[in-house]
Amino acid sequence: MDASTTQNTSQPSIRQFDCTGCGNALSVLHPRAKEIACPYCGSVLDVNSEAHQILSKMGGPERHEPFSFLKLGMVAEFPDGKYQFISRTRWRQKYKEFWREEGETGYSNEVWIYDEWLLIDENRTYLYLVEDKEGYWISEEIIPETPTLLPRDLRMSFFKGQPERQVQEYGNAEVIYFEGESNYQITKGDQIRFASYKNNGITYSAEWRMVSKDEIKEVEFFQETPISRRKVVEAVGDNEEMAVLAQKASDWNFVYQVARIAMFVFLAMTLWTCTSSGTKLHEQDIPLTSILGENGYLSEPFEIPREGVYKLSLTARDLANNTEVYVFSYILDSEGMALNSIEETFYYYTGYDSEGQWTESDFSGGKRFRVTETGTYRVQFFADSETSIFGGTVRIELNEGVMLTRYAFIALLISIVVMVVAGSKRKV
Amino acid sequence: MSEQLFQREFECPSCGGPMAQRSPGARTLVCGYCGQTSHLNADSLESAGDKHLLVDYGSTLSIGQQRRLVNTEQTIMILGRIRLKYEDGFWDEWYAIDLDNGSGVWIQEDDGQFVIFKAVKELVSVPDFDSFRIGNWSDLGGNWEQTFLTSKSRAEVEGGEGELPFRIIPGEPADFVEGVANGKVVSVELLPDEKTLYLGEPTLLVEMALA
Repeated sequence: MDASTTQNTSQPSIRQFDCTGCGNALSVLHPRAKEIACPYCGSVLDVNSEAHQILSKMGGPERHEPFSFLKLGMVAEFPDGKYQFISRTRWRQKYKEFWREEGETGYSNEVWIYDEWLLIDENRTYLYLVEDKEGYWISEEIIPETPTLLPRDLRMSFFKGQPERQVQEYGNAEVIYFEGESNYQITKGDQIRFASYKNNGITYSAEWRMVSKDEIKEVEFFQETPISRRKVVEAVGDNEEMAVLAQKASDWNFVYQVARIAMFVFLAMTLWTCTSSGTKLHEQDIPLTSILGENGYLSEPFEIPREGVYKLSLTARDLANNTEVYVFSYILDSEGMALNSIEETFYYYTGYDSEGQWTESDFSGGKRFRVTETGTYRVQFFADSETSIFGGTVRIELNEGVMLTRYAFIALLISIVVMVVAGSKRKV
Repeated sequence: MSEQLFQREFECPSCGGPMAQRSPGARTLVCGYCGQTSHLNADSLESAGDKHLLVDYGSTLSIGQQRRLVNTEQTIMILGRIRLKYEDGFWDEWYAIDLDNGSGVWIQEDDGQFVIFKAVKELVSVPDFDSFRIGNWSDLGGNWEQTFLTSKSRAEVEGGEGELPFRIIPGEPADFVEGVANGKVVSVELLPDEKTLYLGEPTLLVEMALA
């Protein structure tokens, strides 16, 4: 070859070098790439120079993570071939969106953030995959028969047989982040203008870049077709990274299923603890008049044979009409030390009004408590009433084999939280 | 299928390497050894411009390939290419001939997208480059029906390969204007020796299978 020949004729298919900014390994897949934006530190590097000098900075990627599992370098197998993800552009669109409501129409101001993934196949054919928080679209360049940008009447159609449709959206889109390789200069802040309409579920759009305020540099036309998340997952399903993600999702699914079962168990337990009284150990009826005295009333002793959770219930019986009594009681151990207390107001009111007889009453209350020492226990009662008490009794009832409701309820809440968290992570 | 291709042998005026002309209409030959561009002048070759070998970026197309165009049922042979560069990068135009009738076909390759162009007419009076307004309709100086202009750029010839039906010199201006009309791509490349309007259709690689 002649010494004056200016360029070589061969080019390696994949170039690898370390990022000048952070030292992380970078791979360039497209032979025509001019620049690469490091996904780790945001440095934009010159691909073709030996020093790979930093041309600009995109800013840290931490604020612009991909919306889903997609990553640079992944391989996706679509029906027309195998593609590799080589770049991602994060756009922020500020636009007017058409609305129609109760016969009225207009345009509202909206903002949309989305990623535009660029994929290439082995023949360097491009594929654009648009992604936002809600879904995916395949974007393809088209050649319209009746091209237009943003008509004055805000109705457009790119094809002769297609009826004119209302412009659905129009406005500006700005690059706010870029990672991966590019064969042209891409800068944060680059802007395009656009107008789009929809027909049969497909979005058709005109996009144009300005060279100055009044002069357009380039116009392109696209159609965007929705593609399901399932198809995207299937397309990238053979990747090693996807296998790892799938395993993680499977693990989370297991956690989800366990948490779901636990939630039902704890729900049942919570309901059971609210309604179950356990096995009766002791019962005594005490006349209310005995309690109302200044010194109160000390119940008969009863044995608590095992450590555990017990329930002491108080039930007012045979209260006279229009009476109310406040009962305060201590559970005392064998040395007279108060273990717990129960406070209840029992009442029974009845009368007649324009709708007939009415009744208001409360006859029962109780408390669950934990006993750590077996032995003999009693209940010390005190009572007070502003109404005359002529009769009636208070029945105390001690039951074992119960559970503290709060533990079951806390366990229920924890299982629900785990289920929600695992549920959000159990899909790839 | 075609009859035997026309073929004439030459030696590169720069390095003496063998060069072949395979279409009667060739006006430029580029040496595959040293990258010297030469113009065919009667039976001799004259060097034109600096030597420049095009970098191979792994295109699927290459000189000497025969391909079957599914949409037009033509069998073509690729004879050469010209690479044009502009501020946003470059693109290749592959020159091929129809093996049945010898007519020229151009395949534009840009970022893996292919458009097959055919020459429609020579432009006689091309408006000033600056007068083309992108995003507007133009009759391209009265030479063509209304075209919606989609892009234009100052460009230059980076170099060539194989043989081409017009004269090029590496580094010479090659401004271009593109648009759409009736669902087809309109391209006007403004080379000093070539001002032709081409009409093209986007084509998938599978639609021009190896023959």
